[in-house]
Amino acid sequence: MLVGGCDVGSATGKAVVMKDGEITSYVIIPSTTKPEVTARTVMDEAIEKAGLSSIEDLDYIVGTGYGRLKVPFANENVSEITCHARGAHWLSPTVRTVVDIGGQDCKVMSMDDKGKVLEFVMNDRCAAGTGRFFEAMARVLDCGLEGLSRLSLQGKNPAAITSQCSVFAESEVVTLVNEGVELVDIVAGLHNSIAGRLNSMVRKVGLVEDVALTGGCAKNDGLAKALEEKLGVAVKKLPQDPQIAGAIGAALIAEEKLDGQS
Amino acid sequence: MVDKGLERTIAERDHFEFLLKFLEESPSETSHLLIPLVRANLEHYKDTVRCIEEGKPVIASYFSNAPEIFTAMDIHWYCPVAAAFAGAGANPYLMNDLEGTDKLAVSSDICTLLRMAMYYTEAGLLPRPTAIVGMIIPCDGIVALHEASRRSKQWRDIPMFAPDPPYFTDERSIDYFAQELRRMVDFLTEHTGQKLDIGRLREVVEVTNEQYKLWQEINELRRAVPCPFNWGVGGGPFALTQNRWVGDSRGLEWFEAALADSEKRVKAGKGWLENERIRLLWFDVHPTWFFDLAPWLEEEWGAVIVMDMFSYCPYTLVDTLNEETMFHDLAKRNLMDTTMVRQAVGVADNFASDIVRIVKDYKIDCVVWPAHMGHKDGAASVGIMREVCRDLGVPFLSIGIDTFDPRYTTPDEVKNRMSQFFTAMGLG
Repeated sequence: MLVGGCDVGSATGKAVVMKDGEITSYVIIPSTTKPEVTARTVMDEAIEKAGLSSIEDLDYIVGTGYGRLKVPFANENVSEITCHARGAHWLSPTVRTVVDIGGQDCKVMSMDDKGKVLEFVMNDRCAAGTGRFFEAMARVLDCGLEGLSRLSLQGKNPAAITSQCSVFAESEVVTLVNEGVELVDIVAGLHNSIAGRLNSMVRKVGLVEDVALTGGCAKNDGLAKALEEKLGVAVKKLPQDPQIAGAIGAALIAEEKLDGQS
Repeated sequence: MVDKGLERTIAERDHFEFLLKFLEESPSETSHLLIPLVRANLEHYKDTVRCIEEGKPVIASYFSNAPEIFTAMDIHWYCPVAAAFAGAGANPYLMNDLEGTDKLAVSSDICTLLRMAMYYTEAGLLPRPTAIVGMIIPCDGIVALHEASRRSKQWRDIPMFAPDPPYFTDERSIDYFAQELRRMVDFLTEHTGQKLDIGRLREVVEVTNEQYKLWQEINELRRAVPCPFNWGVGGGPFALTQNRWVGDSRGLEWFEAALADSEKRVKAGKGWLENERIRLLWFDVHPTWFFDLAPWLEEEWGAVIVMDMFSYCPYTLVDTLNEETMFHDLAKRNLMDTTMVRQAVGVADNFASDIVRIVKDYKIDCVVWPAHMGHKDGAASVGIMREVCRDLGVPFLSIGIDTFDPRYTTPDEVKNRMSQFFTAMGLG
């Protein structure tokens, strides 16, 4: 049984091919301005990487992400909330709280021992706590996204940054730079600020361990550390690239659909 | 000089005339309930125009000011926020009005309903009343609305009286508010020349008592699965008890028809929706742009608004024994029972206990907390409600909308959010 999951996000497109419950291939690419082009490109690459000849080789495909309605080859589409929860649960069945930080929104989901979503909250009104926020700060500090994560871990006295809005935070950062505050402390302060916001979202759905991070920002170790400190619990590392959790979830749902049909 | 307030009222009257004609020519399953509601509005606007043109007294007032007293004193009144409430379905000027409202020099986080009423006052789009009976509960914003009328060149000389609502709801407080209602009667007599006849008040209250009883019976029937009551007429009970045809036998006839309709459906085991899959509690006021949303909920998700905040207000029946009992119970009803006043005055207990009661009694599958931007009390208590629903094991969604402005969170965004919620929760 060959299935595909295609997660078209605002910043990246992710595709996963699974065979009999195992990941055969996955690909992550930057999103284009056209979701259908992103979907087609990333899926084609994942198919090629899996050693398949065409999309026709897949028995069922589920699309997810903000561009899920524009995945022309998907048999159906499912919301990213369901997919991220399902993906995180499959990757680590003890996870009960998922913090998904995507390019343009962030969500927190609580789930039961079967991976079913019990509750969720999301922030899709502003860039605070999203990949876009970190991109903007990396640009201002001229350190790149990887540098942001690395520098954050070196901060000993995180600066107090009160703004979570990317526009106001940028002003604060510029002021701190001009005041001569250490770069590592500014970056650590930024991570603390966002971790504070995420902490509040987690408390809304109720903190239940294990907690896992998914989405592109889950690769930011500085953010994981800041969040651990705010939550007071460890953030569980997923055994697979956390950025593809949504696409994995979509592929798993595709498998279930096929099972249901047969 | 052109009387813009009168012009607007005439235009609104004509709009309801058109709406009535349209409904009469396009019969549907809800026609027999919708048509009287539109007719009640049409007659209201006709009366307003007639009073203005003939120089008869007209009062600007609000729900929760014991409207039975106005009816008994034979004083016509209109509600300055009614046009905004009527929304896209009945206010053809909604988008223009919102743009006008944006230009007001008032904070944009005040409830849009109240900002719109400020705009109407400022722009002279309301008929100039003989006197104003203000309402200073349940929120801070409404106080700002009355301040705006004091600042308005056109309105500042109009006599105003606002019954003073006590913060508490014990017997002493109810007695105090009853006294405030008596002061309101004196104020009305002074400025309109109309007197209150207690025998007439008794007649009116006896009719509204019957209306509230029937409303309660309709609510009981809404517990049935599938739900026999349609969202499209959901605002009817409130409108007819607190705003139009108050204490009028035609209002009573509407309740009788609505009850008979629900009874018939329950006996036949039929709901308004053939395939009811989600029973939803919408715990706030219906958005004025709800006409876009509710049919979509039904068609796309089989989701039925089984109960809402407007409909779930157990009202005190007024003891008509004598003048004292009537004023006491009218005070109690208007101080404690009316929608928004009931929920928003005091602590969050009413919200929480209503949710628990409704979820259990009405077999609710999910609770939607629209989180209207103007309802700061709701913003403060959303965490409590989330926990209440968690304890009940019922999915809870807080959206964040503007009940009166579809630009804040567009109907499409709301649909998207609700779809995500239903899918994630495995509903529908």
